[in-house]
Amino acid sequence: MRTSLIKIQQLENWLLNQGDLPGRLVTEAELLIDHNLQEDAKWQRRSYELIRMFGQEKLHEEIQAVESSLFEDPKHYTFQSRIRSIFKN
Amino acid sequence: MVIVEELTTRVRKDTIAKWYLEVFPKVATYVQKRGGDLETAKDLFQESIIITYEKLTLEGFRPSVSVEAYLTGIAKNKWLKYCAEQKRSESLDHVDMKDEKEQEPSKHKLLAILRSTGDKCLQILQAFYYEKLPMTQLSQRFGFKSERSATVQKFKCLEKVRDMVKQKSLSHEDFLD
Repeated sequence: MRTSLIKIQQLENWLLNQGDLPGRLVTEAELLIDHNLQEDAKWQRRSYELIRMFGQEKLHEEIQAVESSLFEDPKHYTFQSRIRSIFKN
Repeated sequence: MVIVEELTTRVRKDTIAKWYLEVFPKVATYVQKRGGDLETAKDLFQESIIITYEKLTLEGFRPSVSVEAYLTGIAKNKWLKYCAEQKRSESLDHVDMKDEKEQEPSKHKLLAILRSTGDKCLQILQAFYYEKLPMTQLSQRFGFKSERSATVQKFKCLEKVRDMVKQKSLSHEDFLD
């Protein structure tokens, strides 16, 4: 891999607390003195947050699709009837 | 290759359906007895599923009770928090709440920008970091020749997203809520 990708992998190991300990310690030491690396770490951390948000959105779409099917498809009449009876009052 | 994605997604959808059939009636009953309506019960249950999924998949958490019992507990806890939040909102109706973080770029708008690029990269990153898809399955899903190729592409995508996030955030005037 090219150098920039190796750096991303090293930052990932440090940010996600994975990989070998000596490697993470080296990255931590580099972060203390390298402002550009600090910036990269900040934006990489933000990227993971956005990836998680994207994952949540996709999962939410899946959940809604399943829910719609259960509440609208006639083959799930027993389930629908049960839920209706809970909120009938 | 299609079979791998279908199996993973189908297992997930089947599990979600099973949770609705087995757990939702209990949650609905709990919410209804405490004055909640069906829509609130649905919203809370959807959020509870996401929390449970992330606990199991992202954190590798294994509850000491059944997953269904754990999900039920999460949903009940969500209801209690919802009630507390409702009470708090009522007591603060007269207070002008200023968003302390209004100067920060909106994550939702950033994500919308990333999504609008129609990029395959987000799909790859979501599959690896959120679905926790093993590299073998990820390679098959996205048509890579090897796991090595998939790994390199994953890091290239992460670099691309990181650069885009940095660029868009630094010109964040467009992203204030």
